[in-house]
Amino acid sequence: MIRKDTLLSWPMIAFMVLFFISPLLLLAGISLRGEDGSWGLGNFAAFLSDPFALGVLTGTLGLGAKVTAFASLAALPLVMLYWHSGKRMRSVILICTLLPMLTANVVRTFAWVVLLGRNGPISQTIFGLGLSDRPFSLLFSETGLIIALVQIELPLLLLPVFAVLNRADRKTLEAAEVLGAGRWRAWFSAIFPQIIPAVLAGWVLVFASATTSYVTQSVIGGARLIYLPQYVYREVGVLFQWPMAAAISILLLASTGVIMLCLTMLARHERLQGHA
Amino acid sequence: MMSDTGLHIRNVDHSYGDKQVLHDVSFDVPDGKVVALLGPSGCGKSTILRAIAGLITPDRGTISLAGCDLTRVQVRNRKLGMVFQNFALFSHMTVAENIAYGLAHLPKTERKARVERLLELVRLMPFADRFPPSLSGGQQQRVAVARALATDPAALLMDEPFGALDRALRAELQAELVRMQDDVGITTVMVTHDQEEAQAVAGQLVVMNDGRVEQVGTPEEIYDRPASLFVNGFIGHANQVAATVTGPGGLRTADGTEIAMNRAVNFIPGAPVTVTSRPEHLTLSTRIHPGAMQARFDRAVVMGQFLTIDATLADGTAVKAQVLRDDGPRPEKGEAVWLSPDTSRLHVFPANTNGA
Repeated sequence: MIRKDTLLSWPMIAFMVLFFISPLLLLAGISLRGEDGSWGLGNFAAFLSDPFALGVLTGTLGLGAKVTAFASLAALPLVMLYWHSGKRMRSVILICTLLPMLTANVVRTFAWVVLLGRNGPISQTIFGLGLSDRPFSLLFSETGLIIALVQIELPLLLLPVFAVLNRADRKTLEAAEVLGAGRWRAWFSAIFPQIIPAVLAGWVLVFASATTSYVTQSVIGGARLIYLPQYVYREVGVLFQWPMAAAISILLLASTGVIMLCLTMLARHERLQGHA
Repeated sequence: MMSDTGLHIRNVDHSYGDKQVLHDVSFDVPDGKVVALLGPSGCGKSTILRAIAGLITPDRGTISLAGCDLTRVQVRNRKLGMVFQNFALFSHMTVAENIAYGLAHLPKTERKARVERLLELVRLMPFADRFPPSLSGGQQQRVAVARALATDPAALLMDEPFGALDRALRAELQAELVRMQDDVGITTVMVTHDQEEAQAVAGQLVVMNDGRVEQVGTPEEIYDRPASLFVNGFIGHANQVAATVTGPGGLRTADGTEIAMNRAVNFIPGAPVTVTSRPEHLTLSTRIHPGAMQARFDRAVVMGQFLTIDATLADGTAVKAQVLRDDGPRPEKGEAVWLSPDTSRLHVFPANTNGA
């Protein structure tokens, strides 16, 4: 039976089923197909028993975790600055946060190639200051990749937090101060709990984005650093192992999915109910 | 001369940008007493409370508590308790954790004992481990009071503490607060726009308007001897009639009624004045009376043993009178009636020019 009030959502549902759900099911189906044409979990078993492949999986999840952690560290001073700024300054910070998002990911990645290279400003400044005895390249290193990804994904963490700060309740902060709390204790007990749900949402976005950013991973990480998206590409484009590629994709989806689920459940914690 | 007990506010001025919101505000809160700051919204009553708490630094003036000048003391070192309008509870902390927030400096066992004592005081023992969002408004208010009292503050500040509650609950919690105040006897300043609430809780009222203190006094003094036309109209109802001074104790209202006061008024003859009367100080008659104002009867509403009467004077001024229901006439709508004021209870103010 079709209810009239859901009628408008049917085109979207049809679109999703046709172009998202069915390909996903197809992918899951392909992943179960063995090299010899049999069906089973052979591809998954092969992947998980291959130390190199396992290393790529943990490396990818580790990259997501590191980028999320460093993005949080980079975000903290900006969040503080935003909180203490007036209306005009807040707009400026917001525009500066949004501006990089208006350029394509590929463009931002190539900008980082210039910045991270041996003759780039980072290497030249550190060498010029005498902190390093020779110019160096951060390209094709995990450090360089993390730096680039943190900058590229940072807005995904900042924007939800800024949105919450705009309507944060200042009275609670004042209550904490009147009760004798110092600046930091007051901020962490009054404002921080209000932004936790936004931080968790930001973490989900940054983590998912960092683990799957094929372009940045392959351009800055290069051929030496392999993450799951490139691994999948290699199976598909070089080795033509489509069932294996499908199995790896499903594993990537499942592992990021589990982490996102955990973060979302954390946001539903009883202590955060007043801030939803 | 500054006494060394109680809270003293002296000559406080404050501006937000170009707008001056406090003009030379001074009042005292005797040690252990409750004072209510009363006034319409935007009169500066919350600003003065925030200045006492230290959340703003006033441009001029001093605030002293128990002999110490607070003006330069930081918010967190003032040792005050504050109850905010929407309670500002930490919603990620349990009721017990909220109450313990200001007790971080105490050893754990002492802190626990103190929290338990306060939970008992506000009768919230069974709710110690609940989170504030799951409590009713009245319960949240009591948590806020307990949290403010936990640090054993030198004074308690309350910003519209009952404002977020519905009417029935308000009266109950006001009585509760009076009971608690009797128990702990803490110097308290309460901000409210509700005169009934102020009179129910406070022994002393500070009536404010437009950033200035209009009058300080007990509820009785303020009702019986209002210092200004604003206070007269803000606390209880006041019928206002334009009049001219004709002699030392004589007035002529705008419609020509001669009123002989039983005392001299401090105005020169010919000065335009506003004469005010409480509804219960008017008597109603259907026959002409010397010194009575003629009016058109509009309607009467039964209020228990009283009748509240609406009438209109010849110049269009609306007048309210409250008379005993049992005796006295019951005129028809539109009929002419005469209202005689109790001349000993009339108040005379300079003519009302601002229309307030």
